[in-house]
Amino acid sequence: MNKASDEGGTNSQAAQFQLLRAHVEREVRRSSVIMVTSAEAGDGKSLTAHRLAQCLAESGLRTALVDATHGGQAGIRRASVSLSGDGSDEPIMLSMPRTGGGQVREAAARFVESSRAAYDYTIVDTEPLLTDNVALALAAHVDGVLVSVRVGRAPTKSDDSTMQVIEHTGGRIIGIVATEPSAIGDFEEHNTTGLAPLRSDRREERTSVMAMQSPATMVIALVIFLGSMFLSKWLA
Amino acid sequence: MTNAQNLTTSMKDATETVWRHRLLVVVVFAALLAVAAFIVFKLERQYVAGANVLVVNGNTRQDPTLSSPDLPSIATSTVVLDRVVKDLQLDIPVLIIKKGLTVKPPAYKSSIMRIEYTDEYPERAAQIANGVADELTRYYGEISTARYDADLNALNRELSKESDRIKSISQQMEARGGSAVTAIDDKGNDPVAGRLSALETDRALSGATLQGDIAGAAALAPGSSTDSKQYRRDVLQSDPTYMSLQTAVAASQVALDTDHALYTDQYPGLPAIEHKVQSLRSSLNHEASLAISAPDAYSPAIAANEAAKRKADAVVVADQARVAALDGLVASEEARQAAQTPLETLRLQRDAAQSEYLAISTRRATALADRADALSLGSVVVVDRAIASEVQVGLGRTSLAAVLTLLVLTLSICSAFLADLFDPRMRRIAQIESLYGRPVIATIGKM
Repeated sequence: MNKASDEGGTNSQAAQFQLLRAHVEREVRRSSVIMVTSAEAGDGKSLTAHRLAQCLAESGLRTALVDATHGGQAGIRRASVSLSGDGSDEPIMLSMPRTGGGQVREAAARFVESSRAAYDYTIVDTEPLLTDNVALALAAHVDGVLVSVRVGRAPTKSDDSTMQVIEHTGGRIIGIVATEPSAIGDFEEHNTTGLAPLRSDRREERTSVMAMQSPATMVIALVIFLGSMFLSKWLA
Repeated sequence: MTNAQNLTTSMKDATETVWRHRLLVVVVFAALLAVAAFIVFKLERQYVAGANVLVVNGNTRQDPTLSSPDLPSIATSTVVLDRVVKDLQLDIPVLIIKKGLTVKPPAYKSSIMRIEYTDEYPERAAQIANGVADELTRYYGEISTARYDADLNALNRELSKESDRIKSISQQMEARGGSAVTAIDDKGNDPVAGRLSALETDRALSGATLQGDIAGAAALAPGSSTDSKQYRRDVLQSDPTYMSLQTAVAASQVALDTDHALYTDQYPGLPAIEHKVQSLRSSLNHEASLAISAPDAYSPAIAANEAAKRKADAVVVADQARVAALDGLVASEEARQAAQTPLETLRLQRDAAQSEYLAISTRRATALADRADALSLGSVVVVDRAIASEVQVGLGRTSLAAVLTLLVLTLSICSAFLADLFDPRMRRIAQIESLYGRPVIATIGKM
């Protein structure tokens, strides 16, 4: 892709995130914690969280971006960077036990409370909701949940279950963010937030999914080809 | 969203769908293009030729034999096509001809029916189209008048037979003589029969006369013989010796009788007298024999009788000749009559045959009138014969290639949409919103 198109795509994404930021500011008051999760892995949670946090910080709000994925040490979720512009760039450390549902919920509650006190907006990047108890614990305490969905993937049972679980835990869904695979790819290639990049095996898996044609497509092509041959024979 | 925005979005979606399935589009396009090329180069050229026939429908209420909608079925019937194949000496199966034949029934308020035939040779297309039109015309006429044709054929056969019969009788009459034909006069009398009747009467009279004359002649016959008593008496009476001896015998006999009366048989004179009588008697007999056998013995009665006998015989002979002549005449007349009788029979037979001929002619005229009436009720006439045309059926090769290319392109693009239709993956915002039941508040990327 040439530079012009790259710039065009970046500008377009920036505009889209500005719209997302405005929507979030309208829906959620300040001093809030917003969790970004998804039903499946690779749905663009990190992209959404990072870009949204950047937009909020660029607009002069005290913003923290928290990586609550498995990328950190075992049992520890770390807040890797603060994007706020008020000079208090202290990292927020989040310590959570890997087991013990009650302890996780308590840790999540404390984290949320401290984040509210420290930042206007804290954006938490999590694992897919149904696969991580930390994400489940956070969903019940955060002020809003953004669900990221990758465009072009097939629907799964997790999609329905994710929404039901969030509602069941009392979480507030702000909205759905649709992410293009190309945008996710660009983000993984040019991560400027300082957070750890996604694992390479996940990227390869996603790439292979994108390249694969669906079986229906192949069947249709075969049917059309055979039909054409029969038609030509009949006409002859 | 405004309509313009909706349209733009739809166009964008469509373009993205095609681009997303570009590989499929290319594959399908290539495959279909190859098929199209094969069709364009392999498809045989077809030519069509058409003939127009005028369908005249009469009063179908009176004669619902056929109607216009039936004609296409008749034109494409196996009977008609079989005849076309035979007439044109084609080596094409009837089913193939049926496949290439198109018969369009007359349009509304039109009487023109078009017969078209499609073939790879323009001349043969025109030939078959014209053949079907001609055969349809003939066959229509046949089936319209079929019920009268059977009667007419039978009547024609009967007429022919009667005509032959009349000719045969006339020839027989000619052979038997034309004059005999006029044997009966104006009053209806037959001269031959009259003459024959007169002759037969005459002959009967002559026969009776002959029998009478024969009887008369026969009556004269017994006295005419020299052995007859009359002849003997006449000859002996005319002989004096015999007569004197007879007198002497008579006298001697008287004397003997007297002696017998007077004397007994013992009288000595008796033997002498008896001897004398016997001697005289012997002399008398001897003289009688001599007189009878004498050449000049003559009996007038016998002579007269013989003359009468000869005369009677002559009359009998004359009668017999007359009777014979009459028999000849009768036989001749009978022969003539015998010759005349079959001629009359022939004449009567000829008259009967002529009457029969006239009766059949009348029936035939009626049948012909009925047939003409039926024929006038509906007919099919070829008004425009097919001519061989060089114009191909359908599109030319270039046009066909262009159309097929366009069609292939369209199908290729449609295949992308078809594939997208069966693709369960979430491609559009609406799908995501439907799945999650929440609005999509932001779209990150190129959507």
